[in-house]
Amino acid sequence: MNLSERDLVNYCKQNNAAAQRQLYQEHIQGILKLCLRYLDNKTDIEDIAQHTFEKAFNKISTFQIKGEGSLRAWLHRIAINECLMHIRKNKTFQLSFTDEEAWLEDKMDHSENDPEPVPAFELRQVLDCIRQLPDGYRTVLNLYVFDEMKHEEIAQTLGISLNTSKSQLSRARKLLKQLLNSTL
Amino acid sequence: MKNESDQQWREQWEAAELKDFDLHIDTENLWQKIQKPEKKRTVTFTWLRYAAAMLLGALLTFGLTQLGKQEEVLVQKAAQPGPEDKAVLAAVPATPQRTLPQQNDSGPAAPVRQATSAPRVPASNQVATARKESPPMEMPVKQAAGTLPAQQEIMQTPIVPEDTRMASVRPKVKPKTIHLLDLEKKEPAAQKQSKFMMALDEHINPKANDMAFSTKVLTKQF
Repeated sequence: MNLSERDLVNYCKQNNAAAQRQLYQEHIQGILKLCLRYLDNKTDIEDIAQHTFEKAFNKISTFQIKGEGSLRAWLHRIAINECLMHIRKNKTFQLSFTDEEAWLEDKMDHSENDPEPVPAFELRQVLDCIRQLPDGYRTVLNLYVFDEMKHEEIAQTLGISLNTSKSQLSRARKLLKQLLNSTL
Repeated sequence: MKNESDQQWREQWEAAELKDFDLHIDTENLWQKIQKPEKKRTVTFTWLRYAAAMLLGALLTFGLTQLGKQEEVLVQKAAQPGPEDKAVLAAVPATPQRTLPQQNDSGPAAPVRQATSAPRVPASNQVATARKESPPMEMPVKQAAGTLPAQQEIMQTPIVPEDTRMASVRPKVKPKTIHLLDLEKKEPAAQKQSKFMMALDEHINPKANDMAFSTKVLTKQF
């Protein structure tokens, strides 16, 4: 059975086991990859993936499809929230610099609109360096670069100010570049 | 504006697979967990330990409470008179209850003191009471002869009504009002000692007067 996204959602709303299985098979890789960026522990990654699908199947009745890719975006949003909740629960989430003046200092150094080109690295190297970043930096970088969130959304999601989000991203980039250069 | 490297990383990320990151997760097993979350979910040891501790605490509290209750019951049982004690108590005649004239609805109003058999107020002391009372019963001759005079005196001590006694001991005197000004005026007068008293005081305790004199002199000197 290979259903379209709309049919898949409709069958899942009727608690169809085959449809749920298909949804799981189509999205489990993406969800695990997403969790891999936020979390280090394999067990945590498995747990978060499990919670994500459980929550998705429980809440799918409230989901309304808005076009192709909206189901994926919805599932990824649930996974991101679960990851952030997990990080907060374990009290490992600490923004490295919370003062907004730091962002202004960064602006003096280099503008976000004029980023320095980063030499090409293998994705594996990039991921390893991202996972070495402090939680605050890593979270903001993940949300901005890979999950394509805007600073307003990041600020709202993490409960921080807009300037703090910008500051975190700027410093995360700096540190990531240093880490990548150190691998050469 | 997004960074070019960001776009590049994102594209690479989308194209990558889990095995590229050496992450091996049994997705089938994970699906089984998702399908049957209630059956598969295990209680962590921490929670189990916490629950066990709570249960133990509750049991301990319950046990101690029960023990306390049992002790209390035993103490109450020990305090209560047994069947033998009850028999002894039953043999003792109950003291006749005196009924006040106001409480007795059936019979005529009788004075409380008259209900007792002991000799009561002599006729000479019945000033305060308006009601006429019967004269005190005389002691039987045999009993009077056998008892000591002191005992007789005690037994024959008339029991006077309380209001009568109060009236005889404390005559009603109008309370005298004393003002503070009067006290201030009276104090110097009281302090004034007559020459006779001063001489007497000196005679009784001459050293004290000498000492007082010497202190006066000393204080004047310094």
